[in-house]
Amino acid sequence: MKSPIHTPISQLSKQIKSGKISPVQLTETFLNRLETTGPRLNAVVTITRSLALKQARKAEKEIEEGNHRGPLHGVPWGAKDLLSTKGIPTTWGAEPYRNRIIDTDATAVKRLREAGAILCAKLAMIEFAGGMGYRQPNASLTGPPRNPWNPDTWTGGSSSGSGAAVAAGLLSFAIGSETWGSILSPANNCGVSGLRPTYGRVSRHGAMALSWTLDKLGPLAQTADDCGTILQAIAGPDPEDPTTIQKPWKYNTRTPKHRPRLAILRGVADDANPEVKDNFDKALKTIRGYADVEEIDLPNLPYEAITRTILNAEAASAYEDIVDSGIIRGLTAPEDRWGPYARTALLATDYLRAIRLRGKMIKTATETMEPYDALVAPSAKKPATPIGEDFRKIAPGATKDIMGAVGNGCGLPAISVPDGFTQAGLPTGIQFMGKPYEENTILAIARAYQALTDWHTHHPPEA
Amino acid sequence: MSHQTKREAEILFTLIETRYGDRVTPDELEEMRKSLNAILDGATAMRAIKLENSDEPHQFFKPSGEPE
Repeated sequence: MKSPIHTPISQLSKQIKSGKISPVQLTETFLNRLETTGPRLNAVVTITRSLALKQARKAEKEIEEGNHRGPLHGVPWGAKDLLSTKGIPTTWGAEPYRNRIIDTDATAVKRLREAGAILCAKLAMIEFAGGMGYRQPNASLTGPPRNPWNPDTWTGGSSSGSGAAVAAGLLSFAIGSETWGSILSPANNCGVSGLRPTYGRVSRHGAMALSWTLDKLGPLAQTADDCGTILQAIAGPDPEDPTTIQKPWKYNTRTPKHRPRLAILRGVADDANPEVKDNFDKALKTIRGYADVEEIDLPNLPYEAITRTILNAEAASAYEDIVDSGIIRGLTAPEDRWGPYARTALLATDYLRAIRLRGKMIKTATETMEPYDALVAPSAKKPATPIGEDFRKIAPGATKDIMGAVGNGCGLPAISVPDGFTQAGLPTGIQFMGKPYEENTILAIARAYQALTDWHTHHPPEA
Repeated sequence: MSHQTKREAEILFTLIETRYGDRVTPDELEEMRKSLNAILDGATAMRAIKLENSDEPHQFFKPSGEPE
């Protein structure tokens, strides 16, 4: 039998359904990897061994009895530790919450349980999902999240453990969250596929709130196809989260009949690291084999300022009591102990201006993207940075990330998939960002790219 | 930063210093000043965009329940 480590869900599921792979043995394999490699990467907060084995035995029995629930039945997964789980600590990556239990299951956790997936671990994350303003990787109660491709480099954040665990083959898939960059960044740095769904596609009930109008939950997995399968399991309306899109979502694996039309924002890769840019240019050559690619301009608006102001104002309110309580003095990153204070002086009129300008940003993005299936860009401007490096050497808000600002500010879906490696052996990624509700379109484009390349089949050396 | 924005930054800095000054070191206080300046740079960029009275927030309020 081929090792199930790094096996895409579509293949794993067939083997589980046919009885070639036992969910109990599979779970044991991943639990052992979580217990041995997990701590070396600082990727794990809590290993849920007894729960996982209980769920695995149940899955195995059901499948033996012919009750196969679907593609995630018997498949091990991990949750970013901002998803509440009944009876298991939910730390939000923060030392003061090391033993805190929120005694309810997040909707995403419930839905994956109903799909038969096996919860094996709560995964490491940047404290408060980076919402306190961290500037370097040592910002988690589990220590600096180490990249499986080179443990002296960073995984990206804030879904750090989710990226590392999938890349290192500690789990089949993970759920992460993104407010601005927190799925795409670890997907890029760790060389895995990461899908940020449309805002409202996945219920946020039971997930830590950082910014109510920006937070999204989404999968990190081996392939774009896996991401689609997982999204179908967690997507859909939820009365517990009134912002959820009321129409159910179904993953469509069919290849679109028309040739995709993609656009690149002029200059979007100009300030990228040369190796990132080189890999992006090579990826574009491949993409031009199955899609039309045009360069376009986005009308001038202060996109970063709009999205950053919304994030700052909502985070100031979401964390107000936590910040005022003084417990942030117990956080790991020194800068997180004072980082949230400045934004408490943000004026209500500036927040409202940002929300009014958001309407203009959405109109501009909608009109610009209308003729295209997706925008394409490097997933990040640089590969994984050294574990001890301050990655935000200039003031927060001064960095240029127009794709992140527009994508998150407008609630647009995006997927990052690997597109190559640097000379130092670090992965780089390419992102496809779609129109609202068009996850199936970007998944099809990413699947087509992965059908023509093998970057997603490369895996880090065993630690 | 214009003279007006500098004055605004000073006033807002006094606010955060009053609220949290006793919790931080002088170096941290200086970092907070830089963060505040970055926030105000963003605000300045947004204030330069003309908005009409009809430009409502892209956020919808809905009373609870459904009409009879």
